[in-house]
Amino acid sequence: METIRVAVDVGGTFTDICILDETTGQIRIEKTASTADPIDGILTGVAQAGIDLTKVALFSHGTTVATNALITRRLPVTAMVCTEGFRDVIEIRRGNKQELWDTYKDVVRPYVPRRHRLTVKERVGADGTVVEPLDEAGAREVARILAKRGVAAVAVCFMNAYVNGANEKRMKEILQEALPGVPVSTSSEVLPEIFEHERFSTTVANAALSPIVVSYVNRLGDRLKEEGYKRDLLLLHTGGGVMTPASVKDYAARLAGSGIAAGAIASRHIAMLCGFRNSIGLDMGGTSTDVSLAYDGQSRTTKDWYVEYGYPIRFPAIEVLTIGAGGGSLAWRDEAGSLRNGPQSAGARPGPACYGAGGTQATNTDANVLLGRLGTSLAGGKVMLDAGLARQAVEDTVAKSFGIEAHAAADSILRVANANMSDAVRLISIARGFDPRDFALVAFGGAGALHGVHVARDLAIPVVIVPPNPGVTSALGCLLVDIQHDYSESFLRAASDVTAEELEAAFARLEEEAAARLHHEGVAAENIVLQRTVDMMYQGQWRSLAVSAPSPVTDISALVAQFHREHQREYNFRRDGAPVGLFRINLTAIGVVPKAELASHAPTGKTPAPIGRREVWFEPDAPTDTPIYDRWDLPAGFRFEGPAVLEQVDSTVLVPPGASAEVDPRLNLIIRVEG
Amino acid sequence: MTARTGALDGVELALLISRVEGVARKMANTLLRTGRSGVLNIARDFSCCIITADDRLLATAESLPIHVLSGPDMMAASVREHHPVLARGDAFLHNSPYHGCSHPADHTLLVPVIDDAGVHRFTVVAKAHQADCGNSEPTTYMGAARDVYHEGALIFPGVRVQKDYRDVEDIIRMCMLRIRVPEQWWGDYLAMLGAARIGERELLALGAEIGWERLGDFTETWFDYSEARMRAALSALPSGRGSWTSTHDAVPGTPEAGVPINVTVEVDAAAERIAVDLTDNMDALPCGLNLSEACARTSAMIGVFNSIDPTVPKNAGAFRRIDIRLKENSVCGVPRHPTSCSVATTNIADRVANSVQAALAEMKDGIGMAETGAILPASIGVVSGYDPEKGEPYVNQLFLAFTGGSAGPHADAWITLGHVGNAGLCYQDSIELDELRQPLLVETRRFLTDSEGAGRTKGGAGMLVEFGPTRGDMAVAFVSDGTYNPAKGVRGGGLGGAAYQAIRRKDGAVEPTPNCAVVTLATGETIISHCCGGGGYGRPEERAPERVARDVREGWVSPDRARDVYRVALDGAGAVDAAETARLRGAAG
Repeated sequence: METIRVAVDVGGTFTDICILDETTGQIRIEKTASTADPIDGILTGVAQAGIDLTKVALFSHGTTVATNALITRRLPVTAMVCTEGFRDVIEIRRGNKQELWDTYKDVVRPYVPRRHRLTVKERVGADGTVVEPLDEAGAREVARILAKRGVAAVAVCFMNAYVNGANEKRMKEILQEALPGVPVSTSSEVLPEIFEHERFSTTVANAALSPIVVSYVNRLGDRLKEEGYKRDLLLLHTGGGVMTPASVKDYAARLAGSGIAAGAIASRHIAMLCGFRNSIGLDMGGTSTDVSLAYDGQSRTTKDWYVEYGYPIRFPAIEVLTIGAGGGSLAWRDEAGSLRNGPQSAGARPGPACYGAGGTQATNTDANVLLGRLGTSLAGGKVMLDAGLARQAVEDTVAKSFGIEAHAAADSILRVANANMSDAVRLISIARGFDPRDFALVAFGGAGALHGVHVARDLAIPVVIVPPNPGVTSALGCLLVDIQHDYSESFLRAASDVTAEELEAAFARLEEEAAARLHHEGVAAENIVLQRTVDMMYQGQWRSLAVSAPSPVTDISALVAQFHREHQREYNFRRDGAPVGLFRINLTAIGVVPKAELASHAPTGKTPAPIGRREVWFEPDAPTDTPIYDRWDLPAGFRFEGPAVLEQVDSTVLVPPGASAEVDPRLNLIIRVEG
Repeated sequence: MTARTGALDGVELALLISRVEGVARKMANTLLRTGRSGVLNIARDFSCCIITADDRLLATAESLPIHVLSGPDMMAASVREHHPVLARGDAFLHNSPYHGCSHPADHTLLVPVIDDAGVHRFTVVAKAHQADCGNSEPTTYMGAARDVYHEGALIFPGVRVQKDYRDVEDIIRMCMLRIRVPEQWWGDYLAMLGAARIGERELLALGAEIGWERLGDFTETWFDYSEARMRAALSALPSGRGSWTSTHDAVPGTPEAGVPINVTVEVDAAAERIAVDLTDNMDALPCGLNLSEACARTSAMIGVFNSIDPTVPKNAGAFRRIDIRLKENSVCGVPRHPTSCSVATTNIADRVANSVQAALAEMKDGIGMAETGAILPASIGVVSGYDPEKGEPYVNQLFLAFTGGSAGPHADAWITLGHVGNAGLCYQDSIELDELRQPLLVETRRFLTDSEGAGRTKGGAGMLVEFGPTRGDMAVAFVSDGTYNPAKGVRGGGLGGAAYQAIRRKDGAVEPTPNCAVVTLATGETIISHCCGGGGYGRPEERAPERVARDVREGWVSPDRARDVYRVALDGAGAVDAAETARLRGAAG
């Protein structure tokens, strides 16, 4: 009987393995160093944890393989075949610059160099008519050249192919004849949507990643099979679901950003378990913080997404805002005398000064140590921190130049770090029309629980949730996902010209395709959930708003009315008489996977004893005598008032004065920030 | 955060500025997502900013530099002058280049932020280039306009367009009668108003949260901080004077030799000041090229900011260290009504900014920039006509291709910069969307080989675009500078590629057109437009040979040009022939 679920999140430094025993609901964590070939680290971790793969019901995996390949450009030789006259689309991009005044950086290069972008005569018009048929002789010549160059993947990207992909399809056939075994992606299959740069860029990323990701997934799948795992390996994609290896070859670029989505999913799930349908995830690690938002139980997704600026990947992605604020972020004074924090980081080497590995500049971790918020013995004594070095760094880099006392300096450092994180939360909440007071903040990652209450207070967020294993929450996220495929199709029509039957028929086509894919992946019909949205806009706009659509669609005017309301909420005005257009239809097809049930603990009524006390500085002028607890000593149902510090292997939780906390049955810590 | 007292510390300052900048960003996001015309929602030709109650620029979102550095401050001042009593719920429409606006196509909404006690605290500004502004011809860039009467735009010198949050319908009706495709204008107006009102709402909330006095203290501290950053940046420049002349091509209404723009820059590093003198220039011309005062000031500032630490905040605090000398009734000074300033944001303004950054580059290696390519080629022309299939007229500015990026001291150009006053903010159009919206077909859009300004670091390549109507006649209006005076390099860097425009007739014959024109294309005809490359920085023979080899491999530079200009020899496989390159470069030196 297979009763074990395993989730593996491979990060830059650590491979986190989260193991759930379904029979007991107990979760175990294994951490091991990531390896050059991530598969070695995964199998080492699996062995270390003593997992018997023959007993594993589900093995899910979040990977940075795709993201890293894009960033480092370690991509197989990929070619692009374009409509004549348009080989530069992906290099022209949309043109605009990320930082207007910075004239000091060279431009990041496209994923396919110019010499591998070939053209062929063909043209489709905006209405789908073939203005010029594919020049078959030219197409064969292109195929011959690419075969000679030995390319490993090809993307076919023709103008207006989103409305008529016939020429692309024919080009693909010709390429497949000449290049047997070489994967060929067409833009009309990968992303049948208007906007040539966005479609081409996605297609190119998909084509270039396909050989790498497919080989990685196959190798890992084979190794797991050799060890006795019998099911499909499930891969976490950016959209917040998992997919099977069978889908990876068609949608390789969906794995870019795989790891980031895991934290957002876990955050949402934990908040839901605690009864909060609205939540903000604050995942603070060593070098950066990822902020995500879930509203009414749904994660925010975006299609405005990229790994590198200028090269969009238009597959839906869970919206995560990453800022350069982590435990290792450096504090510094700019030339006009303002205190700054990050985005530069001390990294893993030398790390914060208190690690004693040669770092001399003050980091957030040093400030936390100096203030007593972080103890000097971490990870159960495996990592010892030097408070003297922390103090030295804070004095040298901040206190002296500002002429203030070291504790005041450390307090300032953390206030700036918290302000940076608050800004990110504001961007993802207030700037989108969400009021933070209606949300719970889920603080996790190695450092999130040290900062969560301060960030929440800054934004009037009433509740902070700290999961039981804050440091490995992302891995937990990989255990909590369903199989998910996202489909979309351009549907450029005026609302007044569309009948409910037409829209229903368009959705039905997508649903048929989606259901077939899920069926192929072994999902039973009763576990299939289909969610429809329509992207709509006032005629003339081109950035659309997603409006959820019923099944079946019976009334277009109801959709239009809902669009007016959404527009009012998002942008503060509506134009009731103005013509409304439909832009695109989207379908999210979910194959529900039975969820991990975390163990529930009955209250014991016991009051745990602190493992010690120390002076912790919550204000810059004086310290407070504060009890220190081992987090695992705190039973379900235990309530207490701040100040308190909770230590655990993968994190430290700070409960400042004025806050109160309670341990819930699943051992989440629920902190009311104002007591 | 809660209200505090006492001196603002660095922490609170950082916190507040990000809040205030966040308000401007939110305004900009609203405008981008809700604008009705392509020039707003596709190209992003708009700006949002926040002005203090005493008319100083405090914060901008990502905005077109030429729109905001100076201008919103002058507009806010003129609104106060014309309307001594401001009330909550007011909004003012402004596009007068004689009262602080950049040019008449940039409709601007100014909303005074009035606190609960009735005190005017800030003015929020949403400024957007319109698809049409009622000119006598269907273009927002009337290069050939003899004066403002010939130009024809409706001019609003800060006119109340909302009172008590309600439109003054008289003004709306005037606009609807005089602006082409009025429904499109109306949609853009609502988007601008939405943005300004969101800015107002957010600032009112911020003031209520932390206290207006505190916010006032913050603005002063922020200005002082910004000035300190600017002083530090200027102290790193070499003291001295530099001059540069950049010549705008001749168009109707200018001398035949074009319009030379003479700029002198003077840096006093010890005093931490910089001065830009624009007074040695010809009088205003009977054409649309003259600068508004806002654009004259701003273009000078752009050249300065392009040459220093990019992170210095751009606001009234930093501006305290810049002296700009202007002359009354000059082509790049303070215009007198009825001088036309129809094209003020681009052509001459770019010549001013280019001269400033080039003069600085010539003063010392490692600072300044080369000249950026000139604009308003046909590839970003205003197209108009009647679509027989949809049964309706259309007018819109295309942004099919604009390049021009100039080399910096340490990096190759950002190719698609647009023009120097734009700084790469605007988007290039999606061809597919343009083809869907207007009855046109684009035949080609690609980079041009050998059109980069050669140099140690390269200017950007130019682009070629060819397009024409698919149904009915189409008028294309443009003012294409850089046809005769391409972007110059600095410190031995080469010229960027020149602009070029021609019509391809149905029989295939190619006829060059004037550089400033409104041409009409019949179905089956196309316009061919080359947009400019940018100038190079430093001598081309100082460019790393491996980078030249890559430029050749990627098709940016031909092997002949690599050899003749960069003095790099390549072997049969395209790799650097080190011995031959050394010989060539030795001979060059």
